[in-house]
Amino acid sequence: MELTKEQIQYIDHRLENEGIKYWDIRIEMLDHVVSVVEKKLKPENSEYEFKEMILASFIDLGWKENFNGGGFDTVLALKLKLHNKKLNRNYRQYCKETFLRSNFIIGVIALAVLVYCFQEHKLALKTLFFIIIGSYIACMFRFALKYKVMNSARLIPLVVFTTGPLSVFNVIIFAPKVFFDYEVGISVLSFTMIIVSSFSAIGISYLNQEFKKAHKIYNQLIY
Amino acid sequence: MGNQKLYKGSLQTIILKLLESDAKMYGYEITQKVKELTKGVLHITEGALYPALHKLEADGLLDVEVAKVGNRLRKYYKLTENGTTETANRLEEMQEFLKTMQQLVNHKFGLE
Repeated sequence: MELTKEQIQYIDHRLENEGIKYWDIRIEMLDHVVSVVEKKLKPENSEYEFKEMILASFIDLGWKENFNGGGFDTVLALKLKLHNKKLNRNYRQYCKETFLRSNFIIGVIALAVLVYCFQEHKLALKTLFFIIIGSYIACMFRFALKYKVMNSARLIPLVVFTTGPLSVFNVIIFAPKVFFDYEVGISVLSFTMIIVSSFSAIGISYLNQEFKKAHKIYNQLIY
Repeated sequence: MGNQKLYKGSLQTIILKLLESDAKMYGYEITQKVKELTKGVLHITEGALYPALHKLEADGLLDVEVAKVGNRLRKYYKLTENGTTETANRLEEMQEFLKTMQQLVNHKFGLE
């Protein structure tokens, strides 16, 4: 018996309440539970029996009772671990491909030339730095606005690839100052800025590519 | 009812073989297909199937395609190029294993 939109939505909400917060992970679990219930459910079955069928299917998928009632903690942890493995592999591949792209090479060289030319002009260097940071914040803000799509197991870990290089930059600026009372020179800062900007650009570009794919799927999710 | 433990180590090979025969399949379809082919002897649990599918996907042997079916989305799995090569290798290994097991099981131990 085919389930109605409301019944499917009910199962989806239950999966979410049981700890499957990422919509892209729920897709497969939802389809499985719906397939199982559709096979078993008969018109004469009561709502209680419908709910019992859902719970039985949840248990088959790895739902376990715990102090808070129950959940898919172990299942989710394993899924995320495997997701991350795939993401890391794909990101490494993307980096390799990007390093060989002519527009990326030209961009990095252009940035290096600009930074070199502005080395003696602190104001120009600061302006360049603020333009880079501003563009970065604008990009991240755009993703933050689409937080519903971003609540995906495939996208959340990618934010690390975009914020990571910036954290490294902060460490390079502040760690010598805090621990050794030593200020990093402008040449070291400029060099770090080029590296950090390049990796941030790769991270944002990769996140953008994956975001487009996820968004396309998310649009079909609206029941 | 077959001994499920004996099949446990072969789960990934079973999935790869099924996907080699059918172009693309979804999770529930795989469980039903195995049930049908083995006449109910082998029952793949969902708790074992999905981690195996995700592991194969993470290893780059499977690719995923999402399609709308009725009021929901469905995740289909299909073999990648590497997956096709790996399936052939694993099936060969499986044949070797079965041959060795058969030799062991059918061997008559004497007092020679």
